[in-house]
Amino acid sequence: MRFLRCCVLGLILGSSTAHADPKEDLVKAVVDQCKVAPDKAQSMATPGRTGTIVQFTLCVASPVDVGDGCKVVCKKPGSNIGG
Amino acid sequence: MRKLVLLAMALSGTALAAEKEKSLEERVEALEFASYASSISWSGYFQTRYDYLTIKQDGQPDQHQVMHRLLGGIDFKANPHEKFSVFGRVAFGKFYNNNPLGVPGTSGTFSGARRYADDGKAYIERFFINYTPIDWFTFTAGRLPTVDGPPRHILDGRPRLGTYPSQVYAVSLDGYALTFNPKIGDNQSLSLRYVLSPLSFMQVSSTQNSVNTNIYENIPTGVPGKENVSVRDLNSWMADYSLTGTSVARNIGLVYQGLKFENLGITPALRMTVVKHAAYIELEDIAQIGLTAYVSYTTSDVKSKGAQIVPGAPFPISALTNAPNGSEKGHGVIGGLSYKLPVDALKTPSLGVEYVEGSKYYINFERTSDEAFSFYDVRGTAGQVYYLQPLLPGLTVRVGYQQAKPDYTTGVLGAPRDSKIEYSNVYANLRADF
Repeated sequence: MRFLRCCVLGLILGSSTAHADPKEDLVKAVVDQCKVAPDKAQSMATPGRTGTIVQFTLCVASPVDVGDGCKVVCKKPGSNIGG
Repeated sequence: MRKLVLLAMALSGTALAAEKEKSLEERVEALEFASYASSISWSGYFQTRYDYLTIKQDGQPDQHQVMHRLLGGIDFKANPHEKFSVFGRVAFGKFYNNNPLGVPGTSGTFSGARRYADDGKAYIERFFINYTPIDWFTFTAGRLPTVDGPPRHILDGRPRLGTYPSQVYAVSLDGYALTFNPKIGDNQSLSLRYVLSPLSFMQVSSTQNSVNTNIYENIPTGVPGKENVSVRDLNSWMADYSLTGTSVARNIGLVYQGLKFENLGITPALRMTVVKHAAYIELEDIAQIGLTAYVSYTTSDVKSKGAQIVPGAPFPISALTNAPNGSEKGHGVIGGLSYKLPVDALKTPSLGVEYVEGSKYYINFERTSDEAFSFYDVRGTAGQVYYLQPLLPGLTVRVGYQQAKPDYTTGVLGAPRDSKIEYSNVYANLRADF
């Protein structure tokens, strides 16, 4: 079931998730920016259309509120020369 | 017999389960395939803006100008491989139902509609590839994200939307870039970047399918007795640093950029060399109280060769001077504060102030400004206050009041003249990012 969810998320995000893992990117950002333990950060990465993974990946607004007082700065894809 | 029946039932159950499993696998495969087959993801933005501009001039009645404008873009992104990605934006901007009476050659949009005669025109604002053969190095080529750079994103509460600080050269530049991203820490990033934007002088004949290339070196200035010039491409170099998750601010951004081009033709008889340096600092969410502060400081150094002869004018003009050949230096500042009001019931709206200053000979290539008048390239002072109200995730409305008191006229050709005009403007801007 979890795998299916990931696949659906992949569909939502298109090919950007074909090789990169947006959940890992978000977890890393939460750990680095909010000094949260990786296990806790995993639980803050929520799936779904309005979940924190999509919010962080699309980066419509920054910072992204991932709960528990943690807000992470994201980068808008296509806005930086050289990524 | 009973055992046989039970065995048969058990076997059939296993077979059914296997069939179910296979079905699940197939469904997953189908989803996976759909994901891979859809190699592009899409996003974009929509913006509509209303302005009520008032122009005051000594001894004259106030003039008012109302504007309704539409701006938008469709972004696409593809990651065919983990080491390269492609980005693009098709953008457009327009006035609502514009009817430019008295302007030769224009018919306005009252007669506008999709037509075969338009030859399929669309504006490609970005289209570039990032190729990262090794973790710390990226090669970029194409039409680059050089517009909408900082601090323009702050007013709408967005993440950074462009690479070049907007005071440097807010024009859609094509080019090649080398970006070095040395690993300096988990919550820090540093990008050292060199961008070459080569110039082209191609004249394409559609009838003969041929090209003529203008000479690149020793181009005559067009002024008798003046030396020839050599053109140098646009060169830019940047240092882009970010530190996130500190107690000082949620994000600290520092950018330095230099940009230079030599002897670029403004007119056939006039060439201009420009050197700009910009420093930008941004403190986002200072001490986590919702306050963001930013300052952008830019210097411009303009040298010109040759002159433009204006019919009826008593003297030839050049870049920023009323004489052949010239050299002028200027500077500009943008500074601002934005504060997120801690009112959850109102979705944490923001209040902001911004101050802009430019010296007499300051030039700013701000081609993508949303403002109703020369706000960010003012030679004098300007300022605004604004209120940003989030309506839904990705949907905001910003209302603001702007004022400007230019001491000198804007423009590149000729010496700036004293200005007696004052501008004030009220605006409302609805923006959707999707």
